[in-house]
Amino acid sequence: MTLAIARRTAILLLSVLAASVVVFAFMAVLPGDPAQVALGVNATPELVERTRQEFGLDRPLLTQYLDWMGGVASGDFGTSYVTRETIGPQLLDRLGVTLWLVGSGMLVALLIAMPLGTIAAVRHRRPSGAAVSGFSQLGMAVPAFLAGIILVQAFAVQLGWLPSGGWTPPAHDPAAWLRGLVLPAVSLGLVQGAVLTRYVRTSVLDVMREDYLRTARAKGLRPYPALLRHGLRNAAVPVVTVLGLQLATLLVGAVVIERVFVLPGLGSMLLDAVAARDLLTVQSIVLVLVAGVLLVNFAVDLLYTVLDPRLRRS
Amino acid sequence: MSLLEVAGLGVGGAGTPLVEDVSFEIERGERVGLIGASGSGKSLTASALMGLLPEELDARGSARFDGAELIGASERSLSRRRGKDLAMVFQEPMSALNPAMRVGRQVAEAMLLHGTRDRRAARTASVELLDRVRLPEPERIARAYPHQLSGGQRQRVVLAIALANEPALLICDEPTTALDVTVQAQVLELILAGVRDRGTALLFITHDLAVVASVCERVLVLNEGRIVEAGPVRRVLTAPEHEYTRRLLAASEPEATR
Amino acid sequence: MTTAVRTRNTSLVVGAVLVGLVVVTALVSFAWTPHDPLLVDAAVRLRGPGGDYLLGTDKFGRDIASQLMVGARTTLYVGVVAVGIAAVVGTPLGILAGMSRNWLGELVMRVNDLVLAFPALLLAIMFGAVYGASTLTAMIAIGIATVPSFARIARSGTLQVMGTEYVLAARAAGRSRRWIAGRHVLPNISGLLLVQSSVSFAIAVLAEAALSFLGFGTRPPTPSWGRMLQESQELLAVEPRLALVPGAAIAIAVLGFNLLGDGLRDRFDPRLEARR
Repeated sequence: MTLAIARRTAILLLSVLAASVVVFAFMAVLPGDPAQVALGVNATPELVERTRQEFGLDRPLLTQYLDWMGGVASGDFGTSYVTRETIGPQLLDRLGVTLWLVGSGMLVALLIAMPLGTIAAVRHRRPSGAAVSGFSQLGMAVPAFLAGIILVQAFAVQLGWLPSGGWTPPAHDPAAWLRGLVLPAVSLGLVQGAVLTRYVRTSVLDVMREDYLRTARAKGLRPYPALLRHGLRNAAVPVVTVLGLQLATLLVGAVVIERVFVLPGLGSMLLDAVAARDLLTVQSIVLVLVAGVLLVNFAVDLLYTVLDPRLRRS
Repeated sequence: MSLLEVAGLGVGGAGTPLVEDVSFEIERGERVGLIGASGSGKSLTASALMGLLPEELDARGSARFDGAELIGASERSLSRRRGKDLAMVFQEPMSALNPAMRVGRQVAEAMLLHGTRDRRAARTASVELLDRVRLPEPERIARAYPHQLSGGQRQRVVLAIALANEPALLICDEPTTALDVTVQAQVLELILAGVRDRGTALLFITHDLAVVASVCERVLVLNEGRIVEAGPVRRVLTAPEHEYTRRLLAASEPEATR
Repeated sequence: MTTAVRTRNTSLVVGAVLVGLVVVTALVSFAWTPHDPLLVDAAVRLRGPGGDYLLGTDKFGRDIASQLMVGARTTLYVGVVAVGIAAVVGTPLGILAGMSRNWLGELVMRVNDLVLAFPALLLAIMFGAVYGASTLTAMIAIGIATVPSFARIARSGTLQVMGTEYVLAARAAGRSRRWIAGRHVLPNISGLLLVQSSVSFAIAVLAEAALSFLGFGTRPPTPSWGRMLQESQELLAVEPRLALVPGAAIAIAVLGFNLLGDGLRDRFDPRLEARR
């Protein structure tokens, strides 16, 4: 058990390290050098050279990489070539917004998918089950940002119930924060919920055919209680895999939703940094997002062993 | 009045009927074998009695248990009987237990569903039950997950669940087919002891004639969904009247002499 | 059983019809569009649907129906190239990983997992940051990000085929690995790959739309559904049609490819069929 966790942790760390090399190399091989890109084509060669020296861009790539990673490991992401501000604190701040968005989006998706997927499975031979399947098929085809645009139109512009965008920190005004989070979270969660519904349906259907569910019925459990007590935990294993993959999609999907709702998250920071040609900031945000995806995969692997006792050995 | 009176039982779906016009009776405490080749409708007959047919199949006819009709009864009334008045042991011990739940809880659940209120009492009783199906270290087994047990051990657990509420009728569907030869005899012995101790009637489904001879008093021969012969075990196995029974006996000859 | 047959046919037929609709629209747009999709005409700004302009005009007075038709081209172009890259790179890698169950196969799958951590959108933004965003960077980014799905499906298919009797017989007969891969593995997993292509196509359409919406995909003035949506955002209160039309087009294309994939899966995936 502990050995498996240790092995998983090692894979996680190696993967993050490999990802950091990829991200760094990608930014390092770009045509022209980062100082030139940041300063623009009109900058004098002298200014470019001074900037290169200031940020250590004239050193060998390996030194630059080690320096960068050394900083990142201790939470120091360096100083932006463009704004000349330290990247770390802002990154952390923005990450908070994105995590709230992703977390609440996932919650909405689960609240949609768990009951609907189960109903679709249990009633798969009846019209209501087919209707749920059809709904999820349709929901999958709607881009999250379109859902966002439509929701804003309906609930913010027409009905005026909720704000159309913007962010209030939860510590500042919890009520305003919650109201501001509803539409982004629903836009993000609606589409993911539709995707997830299909997976929940499939795995509940699989579990319904299992012998142990028949044993549970033979004990005297009625169909729904049997499914709830004996089926859900087993059905959860494949769903959790998809959930993990979806969290990764949500993390990137949040980039788009942040743009629609003007939220100061990691995504809008990334897009702003790209627009400002602030490559070190881009590099740092990409690394954080990729590490986030890897971390989620790691968590999913651990969750398996909790859900399925058969995997606890070795 | 017999414990179970089956009359004109049929099972079918959209196509041709799979079981047709099956009629038999089981007295209290009686041990009856149901034999036939695979695909002859033995398991479907059992599932129909339990009310656990696959969704796409329906049962017709009549099956009266203790005077009450089972076929077409509501899910509510059936689920009250299942596990209490009539219980079942399945063919595949490897998949019959929930892999994500400790064995003890799965046994205790059977009792908690039918009247036992106290969780602690159910726990103690489940360890006792595991002991009665002669599982070694029942306390440890109760805390184990199914994957930590062997096939034979799991089948004992399933038997313990089935016998938990002292049912009036136990249905066993090929309970030893999936087990190692060495374990088969032990599990058979346990089933036999279990029903004898409790005065439970037994409907024993198998394709193995030697097993029927050692376990049952009476036997029903099923072929292509119909009962072709019925009678005391000794008579049917020594002087079969129906052609199909004779062929069944001939086919199992090497097995019987083994 | 009868219901299973019916739904299978419905998915396949409806999916094929929707995809066909998009393809035909794109093809027709080469020969004919109602108006020049790029023609800016301030005199006809924000015309409602009907009359000369079937779906009305946008804030520049461009014909929406014509833009929609040419936009179908962009969508299919991006999808074909992205899925093409993914299939051409991912399939051989997956077969390799499935056939060589040693360090090489392990390495391929580890790299695969790493690429999986770079979602299409993130890759496209990285590419855009370095090379400047264009349809090309979007296509390549989506393509690379889709490679792992193809490698995975090809690997699992290969593992199944490698366990069959006829492969065993071919190996016993001394056939080379390459011969087995080309003669037995590839033909047998082509159904799986076709399904994956359809599903990946749907994802690519969504990714392209999102990227164009963010300004990391197709550059103006080339019409693209995602950018039409982005341009419509400020006018949503007055003219929701501007968002709903391209939105519906995206949804139709995605729904079509997803349904087509479902229909094909029921046809080609024997495991699923057996479970029904």
